Amino acid sequence: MRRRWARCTLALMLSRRAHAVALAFGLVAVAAPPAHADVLPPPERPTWDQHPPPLPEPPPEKDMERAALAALACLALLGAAWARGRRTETERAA
Amino acid sequence: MSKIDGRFEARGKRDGPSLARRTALRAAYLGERFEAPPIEQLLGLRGVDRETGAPVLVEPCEPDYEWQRYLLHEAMARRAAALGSPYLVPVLHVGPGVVYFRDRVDNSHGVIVKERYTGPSIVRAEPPPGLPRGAFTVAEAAQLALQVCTAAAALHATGVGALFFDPGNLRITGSPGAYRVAWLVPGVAELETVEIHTQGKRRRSSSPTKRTGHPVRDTVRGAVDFFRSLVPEESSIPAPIDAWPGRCADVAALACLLLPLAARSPELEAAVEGMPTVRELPPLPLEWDAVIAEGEELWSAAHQYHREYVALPLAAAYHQRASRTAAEGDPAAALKDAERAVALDPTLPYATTRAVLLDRIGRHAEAREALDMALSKPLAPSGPRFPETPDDLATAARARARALGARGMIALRQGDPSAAEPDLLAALDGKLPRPDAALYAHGLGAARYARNDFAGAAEAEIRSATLAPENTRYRWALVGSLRKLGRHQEALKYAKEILAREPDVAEHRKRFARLFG
Repeated sequence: MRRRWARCTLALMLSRRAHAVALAFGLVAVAAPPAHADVLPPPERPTWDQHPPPLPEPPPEKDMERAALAALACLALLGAAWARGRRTETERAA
Repeated sequence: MSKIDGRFEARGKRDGPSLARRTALRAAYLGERFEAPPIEQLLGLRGVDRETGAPVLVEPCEPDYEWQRYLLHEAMARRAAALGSPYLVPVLHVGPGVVYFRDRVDNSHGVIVKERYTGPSIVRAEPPPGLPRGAFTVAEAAQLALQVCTAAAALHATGVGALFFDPGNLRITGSPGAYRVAWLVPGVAELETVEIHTQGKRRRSSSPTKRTGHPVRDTVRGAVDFFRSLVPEESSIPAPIDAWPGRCADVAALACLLLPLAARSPELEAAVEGMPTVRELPPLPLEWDAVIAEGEELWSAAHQYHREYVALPLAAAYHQRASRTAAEGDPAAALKDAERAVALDPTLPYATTRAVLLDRIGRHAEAREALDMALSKPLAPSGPRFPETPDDLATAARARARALGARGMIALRQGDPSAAEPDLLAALDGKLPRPDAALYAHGLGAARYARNDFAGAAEAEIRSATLAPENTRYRWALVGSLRKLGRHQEALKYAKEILAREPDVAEHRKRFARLFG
């Protein structure tokens, strides 16, 4: 068993393929970008000076007086019609 | 070369405060013998004022990934310089124009070169060496603590809150009978770190105060700890000092407790009398135009690994300026800033602001589209750089509620109440600030009214009137819904409340007369 391990180790030491693999690992380690994220704290959104953001425009105001205005308009129209009728009657009488 | 350019010159070469800090931490963790480094090593460089020949300390600000920290640091230094308090170490200059030498890695030749650099810096007068604490009488200690309270109250009133109370930052100078504090503001965090790891273990009361995150309460606690560290024995203080931080909500209240312990002096009494009461700090004003100009320059020059460190604060600065410009009534100019903010940091709050501004200038369809796009993304940005803490998730949920509310209001204004209602309902489930929630409740009322659901409209409008009782527009809307439902007595009650709140507005009186006779 021991002899087999020794042979295996010797083969690895002498093998070109093993050297090539080790070299590739080394190259990858060297070529990898520096691990900046490990050194620096993560970037954060600041919380300073919180001016409230703009709010959407409110909806247009309710036309609460529409009914009242419509009634007034009706009254005005009726009044005008009545006055016109009276005038026509007076003219006819004249 | 301007006058300021020629006024200060730094001597020596900068080692960097982080190096000293790392040394201190290593010494603390590995139990090595550690001597506190000299202040110029922690702060930056020693220098000279050419006009007076006086020695100065130069703290270079070479902003890159620490830009956000430097922005606040510079703003605090400007406030401290403007205050001119006799208890602060004078800040002589803040901004560009100081010459110093620094090491730079020259990658093309693989060497470190020394280069002359003119950059932004904070220049202070060199602080005198401090007297040791722990040997003052109670009266002397109270007087020194009152000086600290005077300076702290003035600083709080201008928005400066992060203060340090360790012996390196807060020094005692003078001779018996004329002691005075010399306080470094803005403080040097590294001095406190060194204090924690070198002297903090010797004496309980001299160890730096634990911070709670509330600047006013931290200052009160720090000032009490400072007072405690000055006297040799705590038993010589007449009052139970542990209860003081709980009893005082601001620095002026603490000064009132300290005053009877100090020797009687009309000058001190007048100072305590006129001390401003600040319980919440006002925002530290930053000059957004200058911040944006500096940030854009840094962003284009920053290394790709550092770009995000500049982009996030720069986007926040654009968003702040956009919010201010919109409040001043110029949505078109604000939109440009909001668009740049979204380009730098495509996060939901900025996208919502952009959509609101698009809606204001009449580009309703684009606004809705932008919000649809932004809302289709996941709730919180994920990834190793943005760990999802409960706070982050709460903020993200609030941002989502605001975006939904904005989309609902835009849909309502476009005449689509059936699309607006679910969005506004969802927005009201989020924990929004009161003005936002009141507006969305008002919008929900309008959407339901438009769909002839008058009872639902009145319910939502009662909510908006409760959230913003001062807003008469919301209250008139409620009056309209109640009248529609035939609940005239309730409508009359709310209308009378409007008249009571704003009796001088003729428009309200006219409307009241028209509606109720």
